[in-house]
Amino acid sequence: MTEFHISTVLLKTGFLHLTLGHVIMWLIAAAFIYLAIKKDFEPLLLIPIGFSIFVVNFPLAPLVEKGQLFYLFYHYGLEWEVIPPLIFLGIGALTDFGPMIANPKTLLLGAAAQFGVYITFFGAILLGFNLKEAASIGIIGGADGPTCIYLTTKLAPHLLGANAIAAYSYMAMVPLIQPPIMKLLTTKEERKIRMKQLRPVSKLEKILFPLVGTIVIVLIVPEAAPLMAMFFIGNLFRECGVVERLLKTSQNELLNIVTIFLGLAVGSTMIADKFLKPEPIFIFFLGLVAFSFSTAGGILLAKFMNLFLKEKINPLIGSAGVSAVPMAARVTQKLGQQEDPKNYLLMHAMGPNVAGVIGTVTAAGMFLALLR
Amino acid sequence: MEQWIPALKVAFFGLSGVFAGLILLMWAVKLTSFVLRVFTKKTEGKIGK
Repeated sequence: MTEFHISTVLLKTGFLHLTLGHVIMWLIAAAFIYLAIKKDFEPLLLIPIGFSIFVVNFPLAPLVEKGQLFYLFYHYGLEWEVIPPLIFLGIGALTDFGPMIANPKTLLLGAAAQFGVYITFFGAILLGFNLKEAASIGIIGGADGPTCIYLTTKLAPHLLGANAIAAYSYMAMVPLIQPPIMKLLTTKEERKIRMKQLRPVSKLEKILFPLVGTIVIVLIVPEAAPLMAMFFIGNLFRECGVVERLLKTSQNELLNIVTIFLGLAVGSTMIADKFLKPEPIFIFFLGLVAFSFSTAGGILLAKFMNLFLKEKINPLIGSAGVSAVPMAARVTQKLGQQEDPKNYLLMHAMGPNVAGVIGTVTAAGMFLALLR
Repeated sequence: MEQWIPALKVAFFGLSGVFAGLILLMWAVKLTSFVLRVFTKKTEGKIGK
């Protein structure tokens, strides 16, 4: 019969293996859970991420080594490229491209809002990151969580936790980060510009858009196909009107299920000895730079376009080119109404907002094509 | 320092790709809307007669 000594039993518990790093990670996890519950910062993501960070930082817990539960979520969900494209299916099913089809010029604003991605790319290189790491950090500026995770998993998987947390934290802070930049770069008169009501978009145009979009984007950036294909399939479910069950599943159950696994998989990468280094602090700083320059890029291009346009666009809608949908568009609406309460910019801002999603995926695809 | 030249190339081609993609998409959307408008008008006219 096996003999049990108090010392061997104690060694099998976590107490004797607990380190200060573990406790710091618990505090970080608690901070994310607090922000999610108390401040409503992206709770659907930060709750699973926060709890995952908490639980994987228990000594001896069989969770993150090869073959263990959270490792399997990470391996099959992210390394196998399953979760981010499935999230895109849901986003596509929820997205109305009508405002963008009615005013296709707004696609340019979605492209301009990727400036921050490239400025941050250089900033990251300046801070000592290599090209692949810098690309994965730069894409935070696109304000698109699944794309950031997708690209980071492929180019710099060791930065996944920090990048994902930075992306989702800043997305939640869009209403705090964007308004000062928007006010700084626009005059009162510009913020008061009223835009012509958008034309109605026919059902056929909306049905054809996912097909046209796939042809253009996947031909130019084939590397973006996994995300773009799922995005546009989801959108076709929405617009075709004959697959109600698939649409509802994509928008609700499937999206919710993959969101749980995404959060758990991302959080499981944040283990004390890997995470408690200077890099995550740099990444948080660079993420803020990325968001700020992306916001500025969209606004400045809108102002530039106004030099040539007969019907001026309100430059505030340029800030919605970061793809945090629909929060960035709501911020535009709010700021516009501060100057003119009868100015309704929300639908105008939805154009660059959804264009920003396509822009970020295209930027990620270009990084993959050039760096992988 | 040797990272800077490839970095500049990546940024140049990357940003060009993004703009090329979205500008082409803009024109594709405009073209689709135009073709549909012409087609639907013609159809409507014939049905009306």
